[in-house]
Amino acid sequence: MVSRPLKYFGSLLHLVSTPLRSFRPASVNSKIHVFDFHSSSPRQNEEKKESLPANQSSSVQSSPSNVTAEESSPMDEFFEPKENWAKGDITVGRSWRKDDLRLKSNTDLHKLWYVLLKERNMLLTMADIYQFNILPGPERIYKVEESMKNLEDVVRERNRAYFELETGETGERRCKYELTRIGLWRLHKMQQHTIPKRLNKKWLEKYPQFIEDEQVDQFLTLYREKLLNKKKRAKVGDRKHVEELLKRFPNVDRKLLQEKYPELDIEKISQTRAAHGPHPR
Amino acid sequence: MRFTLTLLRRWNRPPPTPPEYQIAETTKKYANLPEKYMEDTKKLVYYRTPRGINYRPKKLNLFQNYIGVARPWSAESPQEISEADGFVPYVEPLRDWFFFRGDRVQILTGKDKGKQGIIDMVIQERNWVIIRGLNTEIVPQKDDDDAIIGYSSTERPLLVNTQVSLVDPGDLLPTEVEWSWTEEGEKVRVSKRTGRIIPMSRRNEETFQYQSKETYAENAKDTRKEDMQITFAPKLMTFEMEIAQELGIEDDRIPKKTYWY
Repeated sequence: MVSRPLKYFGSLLHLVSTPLRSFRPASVNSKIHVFDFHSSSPRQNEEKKESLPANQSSSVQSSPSNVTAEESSPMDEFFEPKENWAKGDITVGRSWRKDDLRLKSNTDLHKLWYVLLKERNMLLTMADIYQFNILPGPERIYKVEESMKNLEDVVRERNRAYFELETGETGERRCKYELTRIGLWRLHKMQQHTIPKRLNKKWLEKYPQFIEDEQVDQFLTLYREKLLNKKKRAKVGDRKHVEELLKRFPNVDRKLLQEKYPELDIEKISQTRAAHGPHPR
Repeated sequence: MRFTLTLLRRWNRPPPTPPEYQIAETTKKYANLPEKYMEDTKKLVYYRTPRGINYRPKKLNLFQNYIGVARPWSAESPQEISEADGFVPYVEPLRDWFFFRGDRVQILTGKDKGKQGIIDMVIQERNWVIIRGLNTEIVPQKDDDDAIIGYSSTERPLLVNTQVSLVDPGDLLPTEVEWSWTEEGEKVRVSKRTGRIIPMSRRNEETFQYQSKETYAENAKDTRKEDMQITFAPKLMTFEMEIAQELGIEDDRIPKKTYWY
């Protein structure tokens, strides 16, 4: 993998750890002073000073630049842990498979989802920081997303089992194939509405019904012709590929070729001149 | 309304990649990476129009259907694909695959004919196998001013079907092989000549990241083995119902009548 230039760690420190202090509440660390411009009055400030011990009174007056960058805050979870900053490449294990997730209870899956979500959030912010460089371990985003997808599938599986047992249906959003205005089939994902279909004028305008028409007929004939031509061209391409294969590998498994290309007649093609060409280039 | 090609473009999905150019199973096992990551790195999309109705779906990418010696996730593969310059390799379709990492094979052709070696790399997409230290090619290394600095010898790949054959462990002679099952239900390779089982090498477990599962150094964020216990208990509940019950969320509202269409 490509190593990362060192200059970015410095910029990270500058960008990341300094603005975070403004988000931190004063109760976490008494060293940090938060200015309240709206509610502050000289009296209140004096009272605060008096209540604090003598050691800390000086630090309250000091500016936030005196705070060291080593302090941890909850906002640091949006970024890569500091141990990994100097690493050129970060390796992690594989993603969660469906078989692993099926062992886990619903509460565990619920917790795991938020762990993965946080990780993905962190990785996407890091990818944004590294937009002109290569992110160390770029496959991590894919791994997290794959395991999130698997988790969702497992949850859907369980819900489907419940609904099929109780109601006889999957309990998921239903789909159906509908004819569009121009005569093409479309997969329509059903939606929930408060009013029935015949009263919903907007919906009827958006999805007009199929009406047989002269223009539609003409369009459909041309469209089917186009599809047929595409199919024919694909068949010709397949035939040429098989000819080249027979030319290069005369001992190729003919039965396997016939299984792969059922539309072609392999024996007939192998007898033609195109399949008995000269030695391959 | 005029029916134009631009209207119809959206309905035509891109054709699936033919099986000759898909990433093979041995490569997937060696990579131990998500499939989508490997496909994306192989494609190397330079530019893609953003999603939206006002953009025509269009992308600028490298020639995809080429797999060479460089592995599809590596940094060298885009360079190799660009050097191939649209060359379509013809690959002989094979019914079964017998060659794996760490197997002892004999070379049948070329300058190293009759020599035996151990497979270092398997490239199933091209029916290739690379053997350590054999079938090498000496290439001069040049400077920026085309002055020769030195020579390097690199192993060239060999075709599995004609140039290489597996070796029987009994008599160390090349044999034809077939797949069969033992009484315990294991799938094994058996030599046709003697009927002896050809065992798998331990190097077959090797992946891109680690040599064996024991030597893998665990990361701080990896799931430990102790955490992989079975916690699932079947209940007559959906996922949402169980979570709501645990968190103490009660919903007694009666939903309004709705229509699905």
